[in-house]
Order: sequence, then C-alpha cells, then structure tokens
Amino acid sequence: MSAPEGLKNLAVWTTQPSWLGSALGVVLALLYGRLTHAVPAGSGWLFFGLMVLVLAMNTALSGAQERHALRVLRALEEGRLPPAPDNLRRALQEVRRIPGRCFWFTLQGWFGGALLLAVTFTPLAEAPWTVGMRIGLMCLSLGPLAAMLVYLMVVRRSRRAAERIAAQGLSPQEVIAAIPPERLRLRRRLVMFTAVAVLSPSVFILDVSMTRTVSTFDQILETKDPKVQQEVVHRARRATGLPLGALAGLVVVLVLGTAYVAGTALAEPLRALSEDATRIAQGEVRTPRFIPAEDEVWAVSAAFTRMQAQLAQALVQLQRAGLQISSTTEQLVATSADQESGAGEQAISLNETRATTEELARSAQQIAVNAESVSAMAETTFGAAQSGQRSAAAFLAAMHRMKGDNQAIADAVVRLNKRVQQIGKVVEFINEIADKSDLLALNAELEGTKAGEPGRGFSLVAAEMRRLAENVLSSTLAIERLIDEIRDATQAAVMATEAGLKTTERGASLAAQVDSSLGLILELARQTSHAVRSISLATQQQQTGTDQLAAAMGDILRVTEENAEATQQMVAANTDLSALARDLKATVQRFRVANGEEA
Amino acid sequence: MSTGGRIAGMLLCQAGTERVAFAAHEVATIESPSTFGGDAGSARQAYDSGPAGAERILVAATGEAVGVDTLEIDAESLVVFPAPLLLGRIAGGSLRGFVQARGALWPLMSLVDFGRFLAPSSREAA
Repeated sequence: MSAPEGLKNLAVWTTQPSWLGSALGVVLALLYGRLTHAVPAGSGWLFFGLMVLVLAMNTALSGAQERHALRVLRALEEGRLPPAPDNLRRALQEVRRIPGRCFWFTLQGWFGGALLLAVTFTPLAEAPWTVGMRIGLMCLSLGPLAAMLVYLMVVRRSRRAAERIAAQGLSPQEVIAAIPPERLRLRRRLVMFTAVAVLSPSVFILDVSMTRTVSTFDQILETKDPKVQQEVVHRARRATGLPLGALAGLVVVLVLGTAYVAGTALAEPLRALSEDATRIAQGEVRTPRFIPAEDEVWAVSAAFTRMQAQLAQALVQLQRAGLQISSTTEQLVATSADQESGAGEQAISLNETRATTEELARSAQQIAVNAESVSAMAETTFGAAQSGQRSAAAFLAAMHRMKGDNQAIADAVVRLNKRVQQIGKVVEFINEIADKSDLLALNAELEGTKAGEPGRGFSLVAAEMRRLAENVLSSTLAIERLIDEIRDATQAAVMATEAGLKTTERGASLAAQVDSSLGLILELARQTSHAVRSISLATQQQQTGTDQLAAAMGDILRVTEENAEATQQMVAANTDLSALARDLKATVQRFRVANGEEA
Repeated sequence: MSTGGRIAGMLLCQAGTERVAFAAHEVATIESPSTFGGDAGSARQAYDSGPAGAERILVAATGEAVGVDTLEIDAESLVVFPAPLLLGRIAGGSLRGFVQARGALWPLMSLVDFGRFLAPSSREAA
C-alpha cells in the first residue's frame, strides 16, 4: 500500500519546531550559566556533560511521546493504514491535539531534566545546595517559556498538517464533525501565555540581577579599602552592563518573538475568516473551506464554515427559487388574467345555474306534492286491492257454496224426478183402475139399459160411476200432463242445474283466478305503495337536497363573486409580486456561487 | 129392444169424426183393447177416418166386436128411420137405419154384421 503524497513526513514536519524551541531554551540557559557564573569553577565540563546527557534523554523521551501521539498519522504516512475517512479523522484529531501535547512534553522535559541535573550535578561537583536550587529555579523560569514557544510554533504547523490531511478526502463539514468546537479555553490560554511571557523573564532577570548584586556586595564586604570597593563596583559595572544588556535584549527578543508568533497564530485564522467574509460581502460565495484554528477561534471558524455552506446552499436555492418565482409569477399573472375572465364567465354560468336550480327546486316541490298524492292513491289502491281480494275470497267461497247448493239442487231435482216417475206410475195405476172402473160402469150401464125400466136406476148409478171414473181418468190425465210438465220442468231444472254447476265451476275457477289476480294486484299494489312511499321520501329528500343545492348555489355564486374580486386583487398582487420577483432575481444574481475548484 | 120402428137402449159411438149407433141388446159386453183377447175391427176403418185403434170394443154375444173411440149409452126409446135400399148393402149390409138423438142423426148399425164386416179375415177375403 503506497502512502498518500500529501502526507509524506508530515508528522516529523509538524513536531519539528519543538526541537527549535528546546534548543533556544538550552542556549538561553547556557548563556545564563555563563553570565551568572552559576557553575562552580572547574566543574564546567561535568555540568555540560550532564546537561548533554539529560538533553539526550529528554530528546529520546519526547520523540517517543510525539511518535506515539501521532501514531495514526505515521501509519498513514507509511501506508500501513489506508487513507479512509475514519483514519483521516483520527489523524486529524491527533494533529489537532499535538500542539498541547508538545507543550506538555517540553515542559515535562525541562522540569525532569532540571531536577535530574540538579540532583546529579550538586553531589558530583561537591557544590553547595544553592547551586542545585538555582538550576531548578532557572529551569522553572525557562521551561514554560520554551514550552510556550514550542506550542506556538507547532500549532501553526498542526494547522497546515490538518489542512493537508483534510485535503485527502474530508469535507469541511466532516472536519468540523471530527473536531467539534468544545474546548473554549482561549482566555485561560492567553492568561497563561501572558503570565509565562512576563513572569519567566522577570524571574530570569531577577535571578541574574540578584546573583550579580550579591556577588558584588560580597566582594565589597571582603575589603575595607574604599578604593578597592570602588574598584569592585567599577569592575562589576563593566562586567555586568554589556552581558546583562545582551541578556535583557535576548529576553525581550524572545518575548517579542513569542508574542509575534502568538499573534500570528491567533491572527491567521481570523485573517482567513476576514478574507472569506469580505468575499461574501462582495457577493462571491465559494464552497466553504476548512480554516483551522483553536478554542473560540475554531468555534468561530467552524460556525463560519457552516454558515458559509448554508449560505451557499441557500443562495443556490434562492437563485433557483428566484428564477422559479419569476417564471411562476409570470404564469400567475397570466393565469390570474385568465382566471379573472373565467370568474366572470363562471359568475354568469352560476347565475344561470342558480335560476335552473331554483326551477329545479320548484319542480322538486311539485314532484314531492304529486308524489304524496300518488302515495295516497297508491295507499287507496292498496286498500281497494285488499278489499277486492277479500271480496274475491268471499265471492270464491260463495261460489263454492253455490256450487254445493247447485249440486244439492241437482240431487234434489234428480230425487224429485224419481218421485215424479213414481207418481206417474201411481197415476198410471190409478188410470188403469179408473179405466177399468169406467169399463165396468159402462158395462153396468149397458146391462141396466138392456134390462129396460127395471135397470134404469142401475144404469143411472152405473152412469154416475162411469162419470166418476171418467173424472178420475180426466184427473189422472191432467195429473199425467202435470207430471209430464213436472218431468219436463225437472229435466229442464236438471239441465239448468248442470249448466249452473258448470257455470258455478267456471265462476269458481274465475273467482280463483280473480283471487289470484287480486293477490298479485295486491302484492303489486303493496310494492307500488312501498315504491311510491320510497319515491315520495326520495322526492322529499330530493326537494330538501335541491333546496340545499339552491342555497349552496347562492353561496357559491356569492363566493364566486368574492373570488372574482379576489382574483382582481390577486392580479394586482401578482403584478407586484412579479416586480418583486424580478428585483429578487437581480439581487440574488449579484451573488456568484463558485465551487471549490473555481476558488 | 125394438118395438115397431122404435128402439130402446142405444149405444151412441164416435169413430173418429163419424157417428155410429148400436142397439144395446146386441152388445154383450164392452171391453177395453187391453182386456179383449180376440180380433176386433175399428169403426174408423169403415169411414176411413184415420188409422185403426179404439178405446172401447163392443163385443156381441156371438163374438163379433167393433172398436169405437167413445160411446154413450142412451136408454131413451128412439125412432128408427129405415135406411134407403141403396144404402142397404153398404158395410156388409149392417146398416139398419138411422136414429135421431141428441140433435143429430146417427146411423144404426148391426154389431154382428158390422163386426163381421170389420173383422180382419173378412176384410182380407173382401
């Protein structure tokens, strides 16, 4: 796996200023030792050797710590890890933390080295304990200054390194997400830097001054001769003026350089932010870039980057919306004009529709009235059909009874015919008897007549008997005629009864058909009544609905008229809106949104 | 019985529309067609007054019989008017004369002769 080109030696390059800061501090310390004669005579090489040893140990220890602190970045450099976004984010976080760590590594090296040097040099050089204390004091004053200088130099390189890591494939938003602006410690950091920049040189110079002063006073007190004392003072002035001036100048340069570096570190991101803000103010909105910074400035930078991204997106959307609003507004103006004319036509149509609806409502009312009448007639028809069915049923029952009665009459007539025939036989028998009686009476009269006068009375009786017999015969003849008439009448009655029976059967059949038909009529009348009731109900509902429709049409007409007025107002508003859209379009077009490559 | 141009006891008969009278003493009995066992001619045959058939049959003592439709017995003594010679041979010579009774003139016939005349065997022979 090959290492990305932009990350080569980035870790070493980032932490390189720590060596420079430490070396500057060491030079300052050596100069201090030379000026203050802090190292006892004859033990200079011992001190120098111990210091080199301590310096080597610190260098090795700090180098190991720095490598550990940038292990992911080193793995990316060496190609042991792929330049994936996750690895890049971890490397970015390492690079962002490395200035603070270098600060503490340097401070730790100074404090540890001073302690180790003081502890080892004092016994080895058989120097008084104050020498070790002064070594420690010197390191306490120079260590923070060197650490701060290291921090300020490393922090600038860490920003460049962060930019190069981000250039490998992290967007500004991803960088901001990877390094959330949470640690807002600018004030504390400035206070600490100020304290270090003020206190360290002060302590440093105070120590030198006091050491020189004490040494001069010791020499003055060793002699009582004023000339010697003046000579000591004169020598102290000559020996102290130039070195102390140089030392003070060096300290001042160091402090000023530190302040310069601090100001540069603080101003760089602000300047970049100012440039971007000025560009935005001039109407050029680029794709947001990553401006590395620390603490509150980083919070501002991150917020500015997000704001710039949002602004670019909003401007793009605004330009698009402006164009769309412009075209839409023009369409709205055209549509509103059409709608205005359409609203007028709609109002006219609604007027006609309302008139039609009112006519429809009147028709529905008339229909409802007619439907109620029809419903009443249907009810009457239903009742009549019910009555008719009952009458038909009664008629059918009567026909059945009549059939039975006719059958009884037929049976009675048959029986009567039989009786008449029997009577005829009896009459025939009587007729025979009467004929024989007549014949006997005739013979008796004949005999009486033949007897002459003596038989005269007998003849009279016989004649009388003969008349009786003839009366009987004439009566029986009349009876026979009556019987014949009765027989004829009976026969006619039988035939009439049979005809009546047939007629009754036909009547019963017709009555059954009438009953069935009336049942069907009843069912149909019931259905018709039900249907008519439904129709009546539906018609009433229709009437109600039509009334509501008429009212709604009135409301719609009113709303349409209001809409027409609103449409007119909308046409005017759309015209104003179109002008505003043109202004908006012109305003938005003043901003030029460029992508990162154009930038 | 006839006594010198008069006769007492007369049977006044109707044969169809024609009248005929018989002396009562010639009639032995009066039968009805249902009870008469022999053959009897109908007086209608002599007058051609419709088909044969009688209600009463006058039977003589010798067995001759004549059927008539109706008959009345008149016990009064009536005058017998003699029949012209020209008419003496009609009806087998059975016409004995005429009698006037009940406002009409009745031919008086001999029952025996008339019975023989009307008898089916004699008619066939004639």
